[in-house]
This record gives sequence, C-alpha cells and structure tokens, in this order.
Amino acid sequence: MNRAGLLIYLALLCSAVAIIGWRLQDGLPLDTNIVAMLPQSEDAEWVTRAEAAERSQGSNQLIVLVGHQDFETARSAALDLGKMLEENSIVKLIQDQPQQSTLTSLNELLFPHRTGLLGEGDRRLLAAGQEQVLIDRALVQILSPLSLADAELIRRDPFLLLPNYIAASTENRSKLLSRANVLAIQESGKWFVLVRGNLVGNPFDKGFQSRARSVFDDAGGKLEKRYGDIQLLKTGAVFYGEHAYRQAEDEAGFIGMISLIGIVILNFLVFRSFQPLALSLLAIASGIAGGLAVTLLFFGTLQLLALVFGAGLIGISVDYAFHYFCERFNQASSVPAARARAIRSGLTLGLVSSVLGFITLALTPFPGLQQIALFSASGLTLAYLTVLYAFPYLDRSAPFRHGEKYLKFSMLLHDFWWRAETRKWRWLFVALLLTAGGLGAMQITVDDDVRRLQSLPTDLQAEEQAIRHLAGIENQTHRFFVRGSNPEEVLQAEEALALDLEALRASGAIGSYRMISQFVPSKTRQLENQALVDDVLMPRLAEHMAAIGLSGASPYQQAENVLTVDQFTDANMPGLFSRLRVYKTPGIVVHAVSLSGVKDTARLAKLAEKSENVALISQADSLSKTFGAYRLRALIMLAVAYVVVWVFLSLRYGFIGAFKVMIPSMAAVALAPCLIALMGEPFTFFNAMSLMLIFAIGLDYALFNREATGDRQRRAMLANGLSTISTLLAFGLLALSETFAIHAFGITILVGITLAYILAPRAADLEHPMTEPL
Amino acid sequence: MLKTLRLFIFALVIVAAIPAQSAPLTLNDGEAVMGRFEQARYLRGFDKPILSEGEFFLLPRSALIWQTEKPFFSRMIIDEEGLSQAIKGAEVTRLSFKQFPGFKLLRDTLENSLSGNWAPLEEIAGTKLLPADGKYSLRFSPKTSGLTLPFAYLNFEIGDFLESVEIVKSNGDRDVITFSEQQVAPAADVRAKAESSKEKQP
Repeated sequence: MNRAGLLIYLALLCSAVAIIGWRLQDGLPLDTNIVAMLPQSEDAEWVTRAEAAERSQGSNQLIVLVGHQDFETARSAALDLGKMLEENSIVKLIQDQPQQSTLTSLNELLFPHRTGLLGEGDRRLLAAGQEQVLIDRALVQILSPLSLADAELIRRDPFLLLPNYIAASTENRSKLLSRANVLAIQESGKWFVLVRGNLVGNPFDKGFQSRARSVFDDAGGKLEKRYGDIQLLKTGAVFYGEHAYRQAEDEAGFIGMISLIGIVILNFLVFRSFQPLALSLLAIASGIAGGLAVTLLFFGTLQLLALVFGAGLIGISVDYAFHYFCERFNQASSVPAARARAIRSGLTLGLVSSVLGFITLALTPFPGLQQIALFSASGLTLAYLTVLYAFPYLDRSAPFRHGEKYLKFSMLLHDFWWRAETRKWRWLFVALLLTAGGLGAMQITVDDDVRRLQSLPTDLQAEEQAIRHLAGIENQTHRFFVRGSNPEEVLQAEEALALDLEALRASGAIGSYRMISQFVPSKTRQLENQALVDDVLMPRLAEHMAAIGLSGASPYQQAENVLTVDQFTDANMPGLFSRLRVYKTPGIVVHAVSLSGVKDTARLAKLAEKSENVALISQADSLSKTFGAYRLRALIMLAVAYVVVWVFLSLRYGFIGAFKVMIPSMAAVALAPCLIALMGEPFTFFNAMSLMLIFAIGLDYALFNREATGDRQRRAMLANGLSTISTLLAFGLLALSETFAIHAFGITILVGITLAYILAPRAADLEHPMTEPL
Repeated sequence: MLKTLRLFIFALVIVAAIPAQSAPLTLNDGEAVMGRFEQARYLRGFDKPILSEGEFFLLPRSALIWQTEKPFFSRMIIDEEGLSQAIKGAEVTRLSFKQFPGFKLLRDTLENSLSGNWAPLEEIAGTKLLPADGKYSLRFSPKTSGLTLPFAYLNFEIGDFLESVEIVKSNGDRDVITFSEQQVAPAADVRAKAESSKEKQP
C-alpha cells in the first residue's frame, strides 16, 4: 500500500509538473479582473451577448490629458503620445474631432432627409402649432453676424432645419473646446489636450497591462525629454487593473515570504533539524504544484485571488508535515512508516472533511471561488500523499531527543479544558466569549457593495477626478441596452424610452442621455416629422422666402426614402453615436443608450422592468446585488457542508460523538463574524467565504484532538499549535492587505482560526478514546 | 547756409503744427461701450440684401449684447461659452463655441475691435492699422491653422471707434455692419442700459 501510494504520488506530481510546464509556456495566464470571479450574469442571453460584443469592440478606454502652458506644445505632445500608443498597439485612437470631409459627407447624407429630421423641441413646437418660433429662429439666425448659414444653405433650406437638427443632436456636453484639430481646455494658464483611444487588448490581462504601462511610461519619458515640463493626467481600467495586479503580486510575495520565514523559524526552533524543513518545503511545493496544475487544466487561466490564496495554501499543506514530524518526538518508535500510520487517521479524516467543505464551496457558481476550492482541494490532496507516502521513504532519522518543554507547553491549553482545577476559569472564559459574541452579533452590519472589492489607488483616483473636472468626461456608470428584431424596431423602442427619460431628466433623476434615434429617427418618426413640416411649416414658406429676399420654387423636395441607420458606417456617423451601435445579427439588433449624471437608479430600474426589450446595465449595482444573494448562499452551503461532514464523521464517532467533534469548529465559525463586528468590520460575501476555511481547518484541529490518545495527545497538540501559527502567518497576514476582499478574508481567518485552535481540545473524548486507527 | 537752416526749422515747425491723426480710442478697465448698428447681408443669388438694425452693448470680457430692432425684435447674447438668441424673451438658439470653435475667433475679433483693442488683431493680421483719409483701416485674414473659420477676411474702417466692418465669406457672401452713436461709459451703466433696452420689445 505504501509503495502504491508513493507511485500514485509520483505519477500525480509528474503530471502536475508537466501540465504546469505546458500551460505556462506563454507565461502565467493571470486574470486580475475580480469581476471575472463572479458567476455568469443572470441577465437574458441577448444582454450577455451584447455585453460581449461591446467588450470585443474595445469599450474600455484610455483617456489622457496632456498639459503644458503653451497650447502648441501641449498639442504636439498629445499628438506624439497618441501616435506612440497607437503604434505600439495599445489603443486605437478615437476621432473625437470629426474631420471636415466627414462633416461634409454627413451633411450630404442627411440633407435630402431634412424635413424628416426634427429635434424633439422642434417637433413639439410644430405639433403645438407654434411654427412661428421656427420661422423667427431661422430669421434670427440668418440675420446674426455670427451666422451658421451661407447663401447656398439658406437657398436650399430657408427654415434652416438641418443645421438646427445637427446642432441639437450632436451637442457636445464636455468642457473641451475644439481647437486646431484637437480637443483642449485651458485651466489656470495651462492648456490640456485630450488623447483618447479604445484599448486594443484586455485591460485585465496581465501581459497587456504590463505592456500598456511600460509603453505609457516610456512615452511619458520621451515627451518630457522632447517638450520639457509636460503634465500627464491619465485614467482607464488598464491602469487600475495594472495597479491591482502589482498590489496583489506585492502582497502575495510579502505574505508568502513572511509565511516561509515563519515556517523556517518554527522548524528550526522546534525540530532543530534541516530535514523537516526540506520535507515541509516538498509538501508545500507538491501542494502548490497540484493546485496550480488542476486549476490551469480546468480553467485555463488563474484568478488573482486564487493565486493569493495559493500562497495561503502553504499554511495548510505544511500542517500535515508538522503532524508527521511531531511524531518524531515519540521516543518509543523509530520506524518512519509508524509515524505516518500514527497520523493517518487524523490526516485522512481532516483531508476528507476539508475536501468535502471545498466541494461544497465549488458548488457556488462563482468561477473564482471554484478555482480557490479546486486549488485547495487538489493541492491538499497532493500534500497529503506527500506526507503519508513520500515522507516515510525520505525520512531515515531517529526520534528527536529534545522537545519535552514544547510538548509540555502545548498541553497547557489541553489541560485548561480538561483539568478539574481550571473548571471555573473555563466557565469564565466561555462566558466572556459568549458575551463578546452576543455584543458583536448586535453590531454586525452587512455590506455587499462591489465597489469596495477593489481598493482604488488614491493617485489614480486623483488623476481621474482631475480629468473629470477639467474635461467634463464622466465615467459612465449606467446605460440601457435596447433590443429589436431589426433597426426600425430598436429605434422605435428608443423613442418610446426617450419619453420616460425626458421625464427623469426634467425631475433631475438623470443629467442627460444619448441614443441613436436622436440622430437617426425611426421610419415612423421621420414620416410623422415630414407630415408635420408639410402641414404646418410649408404653408408659410412663400412668406418666409419673400422676407429674406429669396425667389423661386420650393427647395424642399420630398426624399424618396427615409434615412436609415444602415446608411451609416462607423466612419461617417458621429463617434458618440457609432459607439452606441452594439450588436447586430439576423433577427437581433441591440443599441445602447448612454446615461450621464445618474442620481436615481431605482427609477431607471423601473423603466427597464417595463419592457423585456430594455435592460439596465450597471455592473456595480447588479454585482452588488449578486454578492448579497451569494453571501446568503455561501452561508447556506456552509450549513450544508456541516451536515455532510456530520454524516461522514458519524460513521466513525456516531451522531452525538461527531457533533461533539464539530462543536469547536462550529463555535469558531459562529463567533468569528461577531468578534470582527466588534472591530467595526462589515460582514461581506468574502467574510462568509472565509468561514468555509475556518470550518475546514477548525475540523482538522478538532479531529487530531479526537483521534490522539495517550502520549500522542501531546504531539497532536504541538502539531496543532505549530499549524495555527503557520496558518495565521499565511492567512492572518492577509488582514494587512489593501484589497478589501483579501483583507476581509484575512481578518476573519485571523480571529476564526485562533478560536478554532483554542476550542479544539474540547473535541477530545478522554472517556472514549479512539484506539482503532482508520 | 543760415537761410537753409531757417527754412528747415520753418518746415519742422509747419510739420509739427499740422494736427496728428488721432489714434482710435481704447476702453479702459471698467469701461464698456454701447451704440447702434446697421447690418446688410449680401447673399449671393438673393434678390436684395437682408437689412437689420438695432443696438449693441459691449461689456468687455463678459458679453456682447446684440439687440436687433428691425425688421423684428430679437436679442442675441454672446459670452465666453457661446451665443444665445431669444425672441420675445424665449430662447430659440443656443450655440456653444465648443461645437463651432470658429465663431469664438469671430466673437473675440468683434469684442477687440469694438473696444479699440487693436494690438491682438494687428498681431494676427500681421500688419498695423493703415491711416487713410483721417481714419484707419485693417484687413484681417486670419492665418490660424486648423480652424474651420466662418469667414475669408474682414475689413475694418476705424475712426475714434470702429465705424464699419465687412465680413466676407469664402463663397462670396458678405455682411457689412456699420456702427454709430458709440458711447463709452462705466460697465455697470452700460449693463443697466442693456437691461432697460429690453423694454423696447414691442
């Protein structure tokens, strides 16, 4: 059996190394997008497809303002920067400033349809019979010394319908001024010129992030050399993603390093030998190799948080090694296989319980958490095989001759729970714990806001804020998707939605909105407009022409067809509208409606509920809602995990006995959220998920206490103590993380594992010790 | 020799005695100007010019208020952001200079010329005011690159104040605006006058 176990271990280890080598040929496929950890959206399929189409069009932007006292310098630097970013395949620049040729072709395209193109205001005036306002407006505009209209335009469109339509539908709401073919703004004596592009790569892809950052920094250096004191203000998901990755990498490196140093010190302090350390590292390496290989095999990429918790896995896989080497304090046996046999029952029960817990965790539909579960379960299994089947072959050492003081010290906690003379102190401790838990329970606050998951660096936020202040470019937090079976249906649906949006705008619930139908009305709307113009405005044409000294026939000839969206390419449609064309396939057309200045999301959500062809897209809100739902689900899964493990452990201890074994773990899980609430920490989905780890590790401690009898009890307590210290080093340090989700995990585990260790000796049963190994 | 010297001195005295052509007036800080205008728009192919007249109020670095009284009453306010036109108190047009940046230059040109601030225009035009018949003139053909300008060139006629400006478009259309009855007054007074002028609305 031992030999077979070793062969299985070796085969699995070699396979893991081969898989890792194969998958890492092109570098570590690390995904830093925390959002990717979430379950597939519960939205309708068309919404999911539209979102994917939007992403593939490069909806993620990079925005830079290049600042200098001299406009020409700022402009040249901005053009150079744009060129460098484009040449290095970081962005595809957005033409915010339409070229004259584009405007001309746009005018030519729209001109024949001008009587069908009315802004909402003009349309309302004509419908109300107030055509005089439009006539007076045309006269005022023709008379103005700052007139838009020349003789040719006035002759062909005396009511100036088209220029007013274009002015109304393409109104520029940003603060930027068009100057010398760039968009710029002057603030406090400094000119800022805009560079804006769609990212060519995935902003959450580590490789792309590093390249984008490197190209940007390199370009910044070149501009400084070339132009001197240039100021660059930047924003975009790629910068936030890159920062998140670097932070996680730093934290994982730091935590992993502290963890390793802690393990090394613990090993030398307790075992005074190099061999336990070397074999512990083998268990750790095997565990990580197993976890990494299986995760990469099933998922293809590795989630940021799975990597961070991979570092944490070190703390658990080394627990098994501690239990093995603590057996070397047994002077009665010098056979390595006997050491493995002594811990096999506790180790196996602990592993199976943990894996059952992780399987339960994997049942949640969060891909990132499935990765953590898979990583942990497979990693621990390989660490388990290392300890039970490889260690006995590699360990040829005689029992330790030292360690009595550690063994005695580790029994202090056990004695506290079982000695008669500490009875009143036990009650006092339990009373204090319950009081603190009760007080904490009253202070638990739930927080599911997804925006807290990724801590935003203050310097990047300050730059984004400055860009918002200077350029008036606002981060779009909400938008609608509108669907139809053809463009006409979508345009009509947009026009229906616009009625409600106008009401929201008037009440201040939103600032403004943009939709394609504001530029290309539906066929129905265009025909209505034409009828209005024919019935209300045209009877006044002769009088109007005479007033401005224009003779001849009516210049308004009816166009044969109405204007359609399909007549536009992305090139000849103004940029702000072309970006709203999301998705088109036979039978389904989806447009986006952009919203700005959103103040009341509830009213927007109600609008979306009115029609199945309209969906409100707000990643942050819907994810927060999803987090709330799955926080509850995680707690339910935890309860399910306890029931499954109870049934499993009942096979060995009976129902009552199994329940007693589970009490320390359950108490730690119940008390941890209460105690951290006393520290002012909110309870989030991630706190809930960390309870799963407390459940598994807490059960391990309890099971070793339950399985250890006689003198072995001392060694089990020492191993548990060492495990707790290493786990706190690995996981507890996560509490220092600046990433909220990781911090939440860390702080919960810090408190929970400490409690699990302290309470674990109560799982022992001195009257009915386990004499038969598993 | 002495005779020659005397003649030279006499000539100098004569030259010095000729009154110098006075420079156009320039507004001081805190001053504003108001007056009347007549505009003729000559549109190519139209039967007749489109005529209008009214009052203007220039509040430097704040607004140019253009109140047309004939052929009908309307009021246009051009400020730093753009222009707004209203009929009977109701706004009918609002154009932002962000949308039509070329107009910003025309607005600045009007403000500088009406307030006698000729130096920036001379700099852009690349020439000084030219004296002629006791007045000055300036032809302004902006060289600024990259801007889509709404005019080909401007001709200014200047006395104490700007007397007329001819705005010539590249297609041959042209506007001739003649100014009269200019008065310089403290900005607050001009602002108050502009407010009270609204009452002329029939």
